[in-house]
Amino acid sequence: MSLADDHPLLHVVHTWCGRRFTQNTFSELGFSLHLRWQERITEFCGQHQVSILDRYWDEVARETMESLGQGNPNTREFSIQPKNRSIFLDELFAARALVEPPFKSPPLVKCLFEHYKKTYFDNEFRQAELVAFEKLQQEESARLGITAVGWTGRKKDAVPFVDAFGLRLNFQRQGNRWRKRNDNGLVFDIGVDTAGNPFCTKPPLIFRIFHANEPRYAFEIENLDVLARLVPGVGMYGRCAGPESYVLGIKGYIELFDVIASSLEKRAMNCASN
Amino acid sequence: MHQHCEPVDPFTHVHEAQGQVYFGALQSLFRSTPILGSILQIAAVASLCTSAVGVCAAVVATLSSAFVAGVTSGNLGAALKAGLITAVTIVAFNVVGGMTNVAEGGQFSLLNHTPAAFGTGAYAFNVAGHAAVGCLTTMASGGKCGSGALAGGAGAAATPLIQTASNGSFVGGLAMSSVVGGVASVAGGGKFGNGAVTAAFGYLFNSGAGSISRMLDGQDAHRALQQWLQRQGIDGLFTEASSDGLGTSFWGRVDIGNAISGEIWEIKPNNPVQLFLARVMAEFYAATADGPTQYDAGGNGLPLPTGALNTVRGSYTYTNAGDGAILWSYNNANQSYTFSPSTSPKFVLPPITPIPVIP
Repeated sequence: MSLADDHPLLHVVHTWCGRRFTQNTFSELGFSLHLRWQERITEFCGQHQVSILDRYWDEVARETMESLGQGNPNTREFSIQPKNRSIFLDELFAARALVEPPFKSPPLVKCLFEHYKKTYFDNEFRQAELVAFEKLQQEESARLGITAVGWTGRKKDAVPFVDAFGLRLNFQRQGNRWRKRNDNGLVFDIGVDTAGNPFCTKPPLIFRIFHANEPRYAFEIENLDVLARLVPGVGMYGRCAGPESYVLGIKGYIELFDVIASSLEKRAMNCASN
Repeated sequence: MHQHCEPVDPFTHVHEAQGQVYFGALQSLFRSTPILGSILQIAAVASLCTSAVGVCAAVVATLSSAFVAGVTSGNLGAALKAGLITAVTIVAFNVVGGMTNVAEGGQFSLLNHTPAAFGTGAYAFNVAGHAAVGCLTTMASGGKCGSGALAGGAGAAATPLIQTASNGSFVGGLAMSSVVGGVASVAGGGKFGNGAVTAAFGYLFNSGAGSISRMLDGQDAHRALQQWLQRQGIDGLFTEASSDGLGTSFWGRVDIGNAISGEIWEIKPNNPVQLFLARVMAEFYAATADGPTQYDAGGNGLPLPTGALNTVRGSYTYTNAGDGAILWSYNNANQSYTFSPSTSPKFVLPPITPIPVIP
């Protein structure tokens, strides 16, 4: 018996429409920071790397979804084995150069690792990127009509915004959780993380996906970096400098989660636009 | 006649017997060397509440007093009485601290106390208040008013000097206050241990306080750096998270982690005790990380802001002390609403006037 037969959730995530469908649908809603990030990476790596990057991002996303975020595609170690382990990523891993301390699990595409190191070590480069993305955030906030009335920086401030954004997408509020169910029997659950430091350092959201028949076996997304492996660049919505960028981040992540919900609906209907 | 026997679990029986032996030994120790009980009470607060959270210190102080009295006397009533007296003492010291704020022209607060400047009316009021509390609580415990008053008053009087000498160290200040209070108590005909505890509690809950303010400053300093790091857009870097998003979870919320380098850092105030704690916590999180990625205490490579980070509440600078410790310091010397080594009033000895030599 395979793992997918053990848990209905694993069976459904195996039918995921994939990174490109999810990314395109999310972009059609007016969100673009992830696209700008991918463009800058492509610019850094060179056009000749586009196909490798796209394939790398596709397969990392699929492994992340199929392992419910419980594994590291760059080290090829998984707590939950993806049903379709990527041969392409296995080959990149086998061919990678020696690991440079202290980076134990670098990205498997060389230019991505070079970009990472430049961001990590080169303060000037990092600050230029930061300024550019904060400008893009401001423009996107204005374009999407983001207002941050009532935002003081506390985690609990997120509740009315999650309520407004979630209800608009047909998530039903149950206490301090917002839930919707798709036609594959999966429940998509949004929570606000109010524990720990009462102030925000990123959008204080926790997402869970589970099958209605087995609520305890869940794809839990407490660290929003998981979403950035499903759609590269959405981590930019977690870079918050002020009230508007926090609200933009909350809206962006909730809308993306809703897109993921639709990308896990019955495949024949929903992946057609891909 | 049939005699009913209760079955005896030999394992439980042996453990009960061992427990009685340990209790008896501890009781003998506390009775023969009473100072040990006092040291335990002060050390419990110092070791368990080194981040100086007021509620933690109050609870630990009350429980440790009750424990020591209970073990020493073997009497539950004595334990409850000691705990109650400690709780009342804590409230009383906090009231004195709040009233000292008012004497200095500030607002009454049970939790936030501004240290009174040496030689001012507020300073005199604070010393007198501590003496009064010391007197009353010592009498309630069956001791002499004079020794309690001296212990409480001397501890408060020496606070400006202690704060300067301890360089802001919570544990150092506590130890110095204890010694001053103990010596003063002996001078008044009381026991060293009782005076040490009175003065230590006075320091904890009043003169050395501002603990809530410091806790809020700590949260603020954490938030400022974590938000700054999030904004840098470095892949794999996560803050205040109990998982790395790659299947590895931690026993608590890690302040800063890097999934690509497998490093963990803890943010703490800049003093030797907290440096030690930061390193211990980083090692703890690394050792207990559960998942495919191996973690270690963080190295020196983590990008940090080159200048101070300013928030509505304050301004902070950060240093990477290595081995997983990121230390924050106050940048603005005018953060008057908080206790800090740089803002506490300096104790300056009056100038020595040379005695004119009479020919």
